[in-house]
Amino acid sequence: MRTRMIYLALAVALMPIAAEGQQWRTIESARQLANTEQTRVSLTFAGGKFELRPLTGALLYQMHLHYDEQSSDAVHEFDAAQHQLTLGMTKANVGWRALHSMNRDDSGNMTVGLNPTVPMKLELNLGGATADLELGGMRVKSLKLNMGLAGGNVRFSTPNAIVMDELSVDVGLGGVKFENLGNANVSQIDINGGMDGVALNFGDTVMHDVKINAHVAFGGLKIQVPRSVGVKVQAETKLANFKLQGFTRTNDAWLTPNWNESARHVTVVVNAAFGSLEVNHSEP
Amino acid sequence: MRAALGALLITAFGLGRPLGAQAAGAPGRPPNPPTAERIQIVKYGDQIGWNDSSLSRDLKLLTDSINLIAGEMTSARMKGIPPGRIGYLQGRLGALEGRLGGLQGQLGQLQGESARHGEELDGNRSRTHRMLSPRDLDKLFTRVRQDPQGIELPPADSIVRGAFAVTQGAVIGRVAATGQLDVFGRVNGNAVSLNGDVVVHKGGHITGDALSVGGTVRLDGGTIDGELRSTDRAVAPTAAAAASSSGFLSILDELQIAMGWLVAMVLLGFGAMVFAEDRLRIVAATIEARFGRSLFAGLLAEVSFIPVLVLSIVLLVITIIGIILLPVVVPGIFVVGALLAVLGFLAVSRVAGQALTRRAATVSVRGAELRSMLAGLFFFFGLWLVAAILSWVPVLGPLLHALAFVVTWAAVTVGLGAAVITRGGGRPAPSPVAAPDAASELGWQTPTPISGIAAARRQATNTPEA
Repeated sequence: MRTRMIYLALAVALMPIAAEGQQWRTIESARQLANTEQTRVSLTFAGGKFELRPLTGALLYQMHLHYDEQSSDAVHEFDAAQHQLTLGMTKANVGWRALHSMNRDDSGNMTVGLNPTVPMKLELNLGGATADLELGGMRVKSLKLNMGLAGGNVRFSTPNAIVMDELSVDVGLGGVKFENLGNANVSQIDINGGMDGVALNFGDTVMHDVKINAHVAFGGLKIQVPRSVGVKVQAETKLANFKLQGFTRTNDAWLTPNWNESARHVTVVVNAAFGSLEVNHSEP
Repeated sequence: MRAALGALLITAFGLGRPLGAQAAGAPGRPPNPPTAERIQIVKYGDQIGWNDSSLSRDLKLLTDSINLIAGEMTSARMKGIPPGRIGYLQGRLGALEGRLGGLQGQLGQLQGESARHGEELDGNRSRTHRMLSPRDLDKLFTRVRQDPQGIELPPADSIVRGAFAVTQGAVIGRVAATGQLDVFGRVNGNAVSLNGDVVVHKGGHITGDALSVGGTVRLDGGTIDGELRSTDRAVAPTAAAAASSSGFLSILDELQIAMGWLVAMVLLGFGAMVFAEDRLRIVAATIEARFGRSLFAGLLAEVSFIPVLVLSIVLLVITIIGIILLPVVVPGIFVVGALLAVLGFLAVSRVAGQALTRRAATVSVRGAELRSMLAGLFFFFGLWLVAAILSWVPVLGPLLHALAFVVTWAAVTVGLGAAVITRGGGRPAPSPVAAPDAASELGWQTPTPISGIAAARRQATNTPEA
């Protein structure tokens, strides 16, 4: 009787492990462009590699998704009336099982192309996926980027065709690096977290006056701004390394000498703890 | 100029047809009209062209550059900017056109290779199709119907066996074929190809979705109102997937977690019996003797944990030596807290186990203590196991989870409190409350209470007066 009980307990303990097989499948999904109305786009992916690019051609979107269907469900929905596009995986499935499965051998991947002629409000929830985003040339009205365990790169190789109202980045354990952020045409940037650091490289040009609100801990924040742009830094740091080159202190802020003369301004309001804050005001 | 270059680029992309694209021009079907607006969904398994092909990436960059310059030129002309600037832009445009010509040459080469591979693949597909028996086809239909990524199919007898073409001018309802599906006319509904491609040619129109299982969906100048979807294969929900959707896997997950914790606590219990037996005894004795006080101390410890942590950090960071100690002290607080909680929970398990088991005459004191502790642990984690097994029951499941949580939390709180009171079992256990001594009890009573002060001091009895 006792032996039976032990076997039963072992079976119960091991059953989930046995049931944890993977079943990979690939889905391609796309939709023809019907109009260029502003569209809300929600992209969710648990683990593996995620890529986003502007599309060439008359498609609203194109998605390539390779995923473990034992741990997650694929989503590819478009609500034409609400102009709402939802792609990737259901949020309910983005749990430890999906993360574990999709990150194994780097097998999970999701590649999305979006039409650059459609103004879009983008929301990305990337769990533990490593992200590579090219948003240059698109029409991004707002960008909400939630990154969990992994980090990623975000590029604006060419200018954003419309003014972006808000860029919000929430980073967990990973880090994120923005390239040519000056092309984002954004007026407000909000940054939270980033254990592995957040790097904002504005490139050669800044298309719009920008205010950056950052709350960073442990990782740090590194900002590279072109020399022609005036920069103002208001920082509150706790045990954080503070590096500002070529700035002068005025009241409660640090200003670059060209603050009053320059046509474009970047204002950085940062609250940093246990990390570092570095603002380079020079040619990249 | 800009539109012309755009059209040129689109044509260039259109020429790079995916593998298997040549089947559209099979004999007996309407001719495949050349078009400048051919858009394609690549075959499954292939990466999207612009993803890993440097050629496509170059073309994309070129398009962007051309668009940018063309935009600048338009704006320059409208604003009356000096002709020098316009001349410069025209020069750059010319240079880009030259580069475009070079890339087109490369594309042509790739096109030739693609055509060769495509013919081979088509041959393979035809062979695969011929191998499918009616029974296999029925299985395929069932899988597609059950597949969450599938689509609603027409009845099996309405599904065309083999390739099918909707001719120009024809209007039909939803259509499915087990080979390539070419659409030149209009399909009012979904169009599905099992084991083949769906190709929508110029003038062709699908009002619903287009699905290809094992192939691709391609736009060859036509229109699809719904979704263009292709999957590598049809997958009927497997037992595991069905279990997942029914919640069975979540039950197993929960069982696994509960079993994992049980095993971990049993191992820690053995460790405590070996290395901290006296401490365990003292904490257990404190729980028995001062249950209420232990509960209060446990609650206080839980509530004050975060403030104490914050206060410790603040006190540390104001001094240089404190900053150095910070990386040691903060994790240390967590470790000490966890150790006290584990010790307390093991002690509570022992006390609870004592109430649940009887000590056999042949079992030593230590053996009895171990048995009690194991019984207690099985009791507490048994609650979680039962809650996991019955989690699918609508009301009972959540109730059992709540019960398991409350009981476990209470046990941890009491145990933690007792561990805190005894400083981790380092203090001697409080002596049990002394039983009233019969002699002393009688000592202060007057032997013959009659009246007056002595009578007033006499202890009241519970016996109601007659």
